[in-house]
Amino acid sequence: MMRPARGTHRIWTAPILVAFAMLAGLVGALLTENALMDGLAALILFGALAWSVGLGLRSPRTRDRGLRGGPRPVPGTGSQHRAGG
Amino acid sequence: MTANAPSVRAFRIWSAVHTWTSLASMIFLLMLCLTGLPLVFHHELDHMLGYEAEVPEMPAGTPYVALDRVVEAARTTKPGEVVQFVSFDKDEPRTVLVGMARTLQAVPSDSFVRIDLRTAASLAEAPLGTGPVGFLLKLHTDMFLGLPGKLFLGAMGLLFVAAIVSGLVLYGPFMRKLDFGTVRRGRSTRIKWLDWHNLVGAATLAWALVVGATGAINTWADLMLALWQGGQLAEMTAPYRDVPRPIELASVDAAVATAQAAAPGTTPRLVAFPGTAFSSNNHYAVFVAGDTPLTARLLKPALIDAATGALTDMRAMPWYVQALLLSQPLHFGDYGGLPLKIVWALLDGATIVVLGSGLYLWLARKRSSVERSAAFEGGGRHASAGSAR
Repeated sequence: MMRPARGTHRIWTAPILVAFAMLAGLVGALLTENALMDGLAALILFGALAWSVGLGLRSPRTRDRGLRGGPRPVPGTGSQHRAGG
Repeated sequence: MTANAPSVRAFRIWSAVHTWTSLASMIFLLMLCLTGLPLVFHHELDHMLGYEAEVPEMPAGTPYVALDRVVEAARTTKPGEVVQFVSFDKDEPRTVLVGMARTLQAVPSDSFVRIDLRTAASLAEAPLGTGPVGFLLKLHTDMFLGLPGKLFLGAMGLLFVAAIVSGLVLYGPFMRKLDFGTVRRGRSTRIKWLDWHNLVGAATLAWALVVGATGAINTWADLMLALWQGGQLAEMTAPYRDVPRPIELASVDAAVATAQAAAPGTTPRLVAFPGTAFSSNNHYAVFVAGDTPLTARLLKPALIDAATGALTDMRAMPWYVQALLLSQPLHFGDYGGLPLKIVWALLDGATIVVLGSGLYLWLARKRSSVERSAAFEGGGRHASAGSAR
């Protein structure tokens, strides 16, 4: 198994919360089917997406922990960024 | 080295799964996302482009005419065709859609008549599946290839799900030193897009999984219905297998009333006529649904003897059909109002960004490895000499 690193919780907590919020919104709207719940679900889904994209947009150009301590090269893969694509 | 070997191997496998499932399905997923975007607003677009019937305004509470009269009106509108089914529109309860065909056994086609339930008047409407929205829907569901096209797109949907799951596995190793939401904008274009790919992919994960999985399930609809016809329906109609079709049919209204009496609190969704694919030679199949948002999506067929009007059997549909019926709204996103549809479109757009950035990352990686190889071959001797020193 890959070794868990410090800060692992940071990269999982937010996406898990976003995923749960989205699922709750989708299923909630489906099960209730009223205008209020529809609006609330739309708000939750939009909020989760907008917050995530907002974080990316607000990332400062200089905030670059990756330059010193970015994702660790995965041994044997040749590149630390291979899997992204 | 040995302790790390399994994880390196696992990483390589997941990486290969992510790359190749994404690449294999990329073109089709982009097509599905692009055609799915306007389809989220199909009601609005059909209405705007004049492909939806204009239902005349009448005083509230105007009573509905008998269904038998509605059926007769449909027959008059399309002489020479027979009625296969009457479909009740949940979103437009003032009208019904009557499905017609040359013969009862014919595969249900695009021959429909929309009848106003208050007047039994036929409403002018473009044939279903025509117009720009109809074209996009056909492209989105089967690429004009029928069942093979549907099943192929279903396979693409499964590849998409595999790409999402493998992407989730790879997300950890690549992001563990970064805060969620970090985009390293000071770095190269490739790293910046890698971060966007990971961020938007993580943000849309739940939605993409739901829409991808339900889309794949929807492509199996024809197979599931065939399974139901050969299984439960055949079992329910077995006692009538060799009984000839009655010459005089019982009233459609009476059949619907009998089904509703057997399942209180339900409303009819579809009446399949005797001799058609969803019934037997001797039965009306009245599909009713409940009155809560959840049960309104779950159909229950009641078989009504077409000669006597008596109920012969009524069962809940098998789990796989129920799963299909529940998955449909989660794929189309059309169960909500306009705000939810707009968010659906935004998430669809975000998925296009994830797909596009993934393709870019793959191309950029290929280009850089070609450049590295060229540099290695050009300066290999020099580098070897340097490392020896």
